[in-house]
Amino acid sequence: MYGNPFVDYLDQYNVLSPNHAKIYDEYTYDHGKESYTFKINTKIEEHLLNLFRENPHSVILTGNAGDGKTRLCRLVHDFFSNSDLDHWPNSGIINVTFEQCTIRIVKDLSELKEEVIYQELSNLQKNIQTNYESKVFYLIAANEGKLTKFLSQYDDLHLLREMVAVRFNDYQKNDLSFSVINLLDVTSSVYVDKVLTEWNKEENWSSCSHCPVRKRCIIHLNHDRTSKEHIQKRLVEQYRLLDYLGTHITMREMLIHISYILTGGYNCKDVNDADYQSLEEQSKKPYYQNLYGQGIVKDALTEMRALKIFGEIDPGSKSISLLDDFIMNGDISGQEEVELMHNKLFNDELDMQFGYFKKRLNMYRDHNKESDDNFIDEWIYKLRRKLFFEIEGEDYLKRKALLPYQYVQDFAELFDNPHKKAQTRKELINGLNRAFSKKLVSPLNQLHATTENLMIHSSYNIRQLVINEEQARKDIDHIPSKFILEVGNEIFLSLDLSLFEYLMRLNSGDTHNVLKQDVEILIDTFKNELIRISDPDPYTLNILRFDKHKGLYIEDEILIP
Amino acid sequence: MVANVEQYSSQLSAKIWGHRFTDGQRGPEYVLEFLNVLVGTDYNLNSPFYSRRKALGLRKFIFEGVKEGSKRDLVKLEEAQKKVLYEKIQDDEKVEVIREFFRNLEVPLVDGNGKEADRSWFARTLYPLHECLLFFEVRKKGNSIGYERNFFARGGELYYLMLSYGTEDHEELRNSIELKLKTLLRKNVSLKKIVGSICEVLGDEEKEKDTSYPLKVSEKDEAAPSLPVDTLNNPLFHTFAKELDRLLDINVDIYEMFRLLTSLVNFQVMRYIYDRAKTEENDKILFFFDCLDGQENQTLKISANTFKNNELLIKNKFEDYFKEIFRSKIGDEENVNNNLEIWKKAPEHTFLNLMGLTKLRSRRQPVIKTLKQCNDYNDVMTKLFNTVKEVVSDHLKRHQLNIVRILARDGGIGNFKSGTNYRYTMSDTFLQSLVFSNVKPNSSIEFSEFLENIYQQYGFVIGVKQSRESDIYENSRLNISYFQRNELALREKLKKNGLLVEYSDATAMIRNPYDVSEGVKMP
Repeated sequence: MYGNPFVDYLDQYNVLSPNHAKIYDEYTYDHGKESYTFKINTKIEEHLLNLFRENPHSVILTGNAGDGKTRLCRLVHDFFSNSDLDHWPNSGIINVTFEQCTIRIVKDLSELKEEVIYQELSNLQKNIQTNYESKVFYLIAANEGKLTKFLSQYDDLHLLREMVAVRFNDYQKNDLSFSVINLLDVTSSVYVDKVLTEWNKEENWSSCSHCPVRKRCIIHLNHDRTSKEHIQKRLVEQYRLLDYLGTHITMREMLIHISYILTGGYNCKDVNDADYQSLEEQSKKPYYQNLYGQGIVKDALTEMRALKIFGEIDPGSKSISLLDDFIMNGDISGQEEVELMHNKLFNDELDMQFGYFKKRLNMYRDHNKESDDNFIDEWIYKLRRKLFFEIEGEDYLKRKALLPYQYVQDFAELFDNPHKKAQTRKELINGLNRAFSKKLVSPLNQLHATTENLMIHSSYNIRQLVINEEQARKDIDHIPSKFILEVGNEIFLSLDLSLFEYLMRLNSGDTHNVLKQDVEILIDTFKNELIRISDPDPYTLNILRFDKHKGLYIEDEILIP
Repeated sequence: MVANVEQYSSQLSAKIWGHRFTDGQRGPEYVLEFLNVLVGTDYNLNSPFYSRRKALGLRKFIFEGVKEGSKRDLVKLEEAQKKVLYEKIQDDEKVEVIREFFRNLEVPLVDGNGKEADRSWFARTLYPLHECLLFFEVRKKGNSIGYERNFFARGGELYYLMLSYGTEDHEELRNSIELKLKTLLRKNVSLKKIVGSICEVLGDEEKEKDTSYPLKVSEKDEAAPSLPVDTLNNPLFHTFAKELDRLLDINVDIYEMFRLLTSLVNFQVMRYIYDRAKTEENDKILFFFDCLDGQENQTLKISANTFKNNELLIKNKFEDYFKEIFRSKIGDEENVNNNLEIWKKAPEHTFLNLMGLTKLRSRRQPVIKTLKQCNDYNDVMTKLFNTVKEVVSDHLKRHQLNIVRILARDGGIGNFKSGTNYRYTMSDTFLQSLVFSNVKPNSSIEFSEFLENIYQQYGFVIGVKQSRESDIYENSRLNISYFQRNELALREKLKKNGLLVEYSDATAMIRNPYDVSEGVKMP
């Protein structure tokens, strides 16, 4: 049997495989075995080492399980102690001394006993207050929720609580005395590109070139397709969407997910041993299905949080008649170009079940007598996804229409684009005016601080509204993914994709909107802030009123008689 | 002398709860009346009297065309007044704009089916965006228009008294509430100017402001609201004041605050009513909340049961009191034996008169019939007692229990689906006011701690732990997963309202996202 050792490596990330546990740092750390290892360079590693070398102070690392907190603790230990850590001591705490400083590493705060946590945090607070007289610096890995909860229970830790809270809200408050680094702020898409490039390297797959079953190997097909530049780019794009929505995927979740995209949960043995029934099953696991967890067993879902989130942006569930028509009838459209495109896309490779799709399609079109034929249901969702990733060029078919967010493009274009920002301001103002008043307000040049009662507390000129781009971060891998709407240098509203989409839809005249629940609180709080700082003019009453000719609400002014 | 059953039971209820709550008063009207009272005392929570405001011209202007009285007349501004107004504003269209703006501020009142209440302009109200939009209920009396108490039935006055007694020895808290409400109701100055000039043109002068309405009086005064003497130092009142003070801390404008206030005040009044209905000091009032929106029949049922139990408390309390009064009226055994034959001969002038049931009309027959069958003291205390009780409790059922139901519905604390009984639910607004009055601005507490707090404080049962402790789980004989789901549903609800942050490790914190309102920060 031919076998690719790299596929075995990927199999470790399969949550249903017996090899799975190997990827947890806490369980094993195996140097001896000759196996493939690779490392993604992250900014945080370098930042931490520099920090302890140059301006040592205490650091709390927070993040979800799988963000690599433990790995970072190990890294700091190994670097400063010049030795590899065999296993963590039972206490979960280890001291590293170098150049008269001590770094006290707490690998996981929430694993410790209550008294111990209290002791360590009190020490930390004392050390910060005494400006590290003792030269003991902490590196603590913790969970945001547990940490917040613990700190709020002890009054004598209130100084630390405040320091932590301030830094949680704004990482720029980190200073030379104390840092809190929240790994949830890492934008996952940064790593996806790196991982795909690394895993798809030709040398990892060279042993496949002699494999007799290569043509009917779904793993190889996935490798082959996702190596294509435009497809890889689109995969990264999907991850980028999560950044835009403020959703964070941990490093571990991402590795599990990408491994699953490539293997569909199979290994070389499965492919070699496949009979025709298994082969049919395997043909249903191309990368574009795996990305959204199509046909996955339920048990695996709980482990793969990423899949649940991707389910919400699945391009397969949206029907766009132009695209569906291309899928069903593109090969008989009469336009040579289109027919070529169709034939190239829906060819006779494994994911098209070696041309079986084409046959079924012809049968369906020419001899469809039985009404219970479920051909469409079986194929259309899958083929929309295929089209979304594989169609070349963006011109003829607007594949992006398959995404549930209509304004992704506009959102993405705003980055680094002052001109576009200036243009979009007016649309956002209109959206906000409508969101505040819950009325169809006519497009205006001013942002009005108003509510359903239609009294305008204050107004802001378009120039007082600035769309600021989030900064890229130096300490962790975080690329700008949202904007901050700033009004009159005073009030700020964080603008991510869902809020942007909501406001743009209001602007274009939509009234009911499924995003409402996600964004309404944000908008309400923003509105209340605007009203709070308003300084109403006692001699005029500004209101919105219905204009019968326009059919929209307009601004009006009542001078006090 | 008591005139009829209605007065009979309302007198009973006044003894238990105070003078008076009625089922005519709707949730928002408790707050509106209270704010009217407070403004009428110039924001003084310890005032022996207050003034009221009619603002007739302003209201006629705003509500022009709305029905007047029950006879389907329509309210109209007098031509002369109209002329002056149009002259003053100089632009006919602007007049309409102004009217439309104010009409849009009307506080909507809908019944359980979503149907709008059919109210005369006498009893229509506006959102109090500024204190100048507060005015008292009125009604045509002969040729003039006087004050009326159909809908502003005294619930707001009583709430004022509760806060007043609850802050008796807490000067700082009292001042804080007064100041916060004053700031809130006086912020929108532009409204004050415009309303002021409309009132001036239309002749709503200051002189119509009466200054003599008794409020917190020590001696007995029929015209004054009153809480039963034995409840004046009820610890609940201090709690109410603290909750209100905390709610007022958050930084939202009066329009939004009004909704939250309605929810909180209704909930507090409801708690007061339940509290007074306790017969034993350590009776525990339980509220099991159905957080699954009636989707789960079992959860709905438990919730409806606790609602019913609490109504039963009120009924029992009533009966207790009724028994006492019945006893004291008929006197001891000797007295009964002496009078029984006289009563039987001419019940109308003797027994019915004594009991205050002379105006009963058709319903007096069963009383008379039973009376005639009575042969001794024992018969009177059992048969007759039960008949009279039934006659009286009929009325009680309709009105007294309705008060709580209206508070529940308008406060967002309870509701019913057609075909089911009343149960406890949480509207988004109620949930918000609950969090804001229990969690300081910009701070947070853990979800489980929150559940425990509201269990200890109010007897709210939602999740697993509290169901076990309160025996609701045991008695329901249901699988524990029902309670788990109920708890989870509440968590979802809080999350959707931006009041809960979930962390990856299953820790969830309840959070008050607002800043402390700036104008009223206390030192």
